[in-house]
Amino acid sequence: MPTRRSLFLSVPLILAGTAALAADEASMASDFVRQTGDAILKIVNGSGSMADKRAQLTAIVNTAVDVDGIGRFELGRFWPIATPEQRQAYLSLFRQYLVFNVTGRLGQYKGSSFTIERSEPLNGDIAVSTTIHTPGQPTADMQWIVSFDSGKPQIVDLVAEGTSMRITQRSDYASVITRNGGEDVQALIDALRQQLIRMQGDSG
Amino acid sequence: MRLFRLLFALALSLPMLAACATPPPASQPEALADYRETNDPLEPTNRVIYEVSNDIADVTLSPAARAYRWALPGGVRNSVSNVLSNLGSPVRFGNDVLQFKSRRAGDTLMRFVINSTFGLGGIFDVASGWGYPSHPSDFGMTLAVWGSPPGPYLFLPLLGPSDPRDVAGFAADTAANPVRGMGSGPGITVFNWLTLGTTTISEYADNLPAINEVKRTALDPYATFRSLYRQHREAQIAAAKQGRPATIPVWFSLPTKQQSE
Repeated sequence: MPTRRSLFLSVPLILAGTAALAADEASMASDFVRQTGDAILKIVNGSGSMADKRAQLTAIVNTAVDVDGIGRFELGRFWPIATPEQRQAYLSLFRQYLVFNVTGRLGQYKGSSFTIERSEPLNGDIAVSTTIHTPGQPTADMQWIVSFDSGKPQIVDLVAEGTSMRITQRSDYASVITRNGGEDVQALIDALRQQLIRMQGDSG
Repeated sequence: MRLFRLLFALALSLPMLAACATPPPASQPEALADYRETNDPLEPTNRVIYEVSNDIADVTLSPAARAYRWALPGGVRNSVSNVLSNLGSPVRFGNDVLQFKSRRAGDTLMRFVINSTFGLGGIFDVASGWGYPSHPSDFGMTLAVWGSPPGPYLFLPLLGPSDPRDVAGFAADTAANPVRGMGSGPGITVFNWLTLGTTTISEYADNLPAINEVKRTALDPYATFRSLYRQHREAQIAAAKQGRPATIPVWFSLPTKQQSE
């Protein structure tokens, strides 16, 4: 039976343990962001055809980013009303849309470098703050939100100038569904499909 | 300036000629919560102004901004935006003081002194490298720090995304600009219009890639800009409330580092 003294001792130990775990996750998250960022920039600045680069970046997105988690988050209050087929169609389109968006920005980061400023807990995840330096451009601050929910570090959001990518897109999607009656996720799925076709057409 | 008075009057009269959105019924609590959070009861009117503003910008501001980006290299554009930012320092300082944020007011004052002298009239942002980073500060933020809510979302001609709090803030900042207090005369008028014109084009040019990116990728750009504007302002206001500059001045962190060693 634990004595009162051992209880008193164990409380600070547990607290210290939790703090150490958070500190551990914070440093793991910042290592993860450094590796991922380096890998992305290596592809962007490397030689190789555009198609090669796209394929390599897609592989990084698929492992380093919790694409399905972000997709669910962005559907928000409409996730429960979507049918299983709609969820599947939505998540598949969402993945293509996200990958296309990321790889479409390739050229913007040519010659960029980044520095990691700090890494701190934020609402159960870890926020890793970075500064991106691009020649001829003002420096940009970007936060990478890293989650450990799946057991390994994965990116769940990007926050630039105080604006969160997943919250912004959630409002975008909610607006599309609401303006089409607010009952059916199909409107969003159709809009996403159209948008993908248009974006792929734009990029030739 | 007459233009601002006109804009202000227009902003105030908008609700009267506005079409209103219909809130969802109480039987849909989630939809209703969403509607309240979006806080855009004038959405139908706002969307019309958004569309018209976009059409006008496509033939006026966008070509001007593209020409500006084409004609001037990034370094020169940065210098222009530095000079304009330096001209705005007195108003920013006043707002930092009104927000009772001494550290931020000190940063703004030091930036103005350093950049006006060593930065050759604001052309170079020397102060950032010396540990005095820039931060936004305007009367809309001051009102927010004092506890004023933003009010419903507004999309205004020329000004773009806004809300009643920021409209009031914009009017107050414009009236408080010290250049306007130097009296009237053709020189001052030309200077004011030149500053306004250059500020508009410079800011638009700086944001053009981001604006185009949203228009290219968003399903509903109007809703996306609305969300971006709200989040951006909330983040700026949260930073002002904390009184925390983006980074700690170089000299400020030195003593603590020595202590910890």
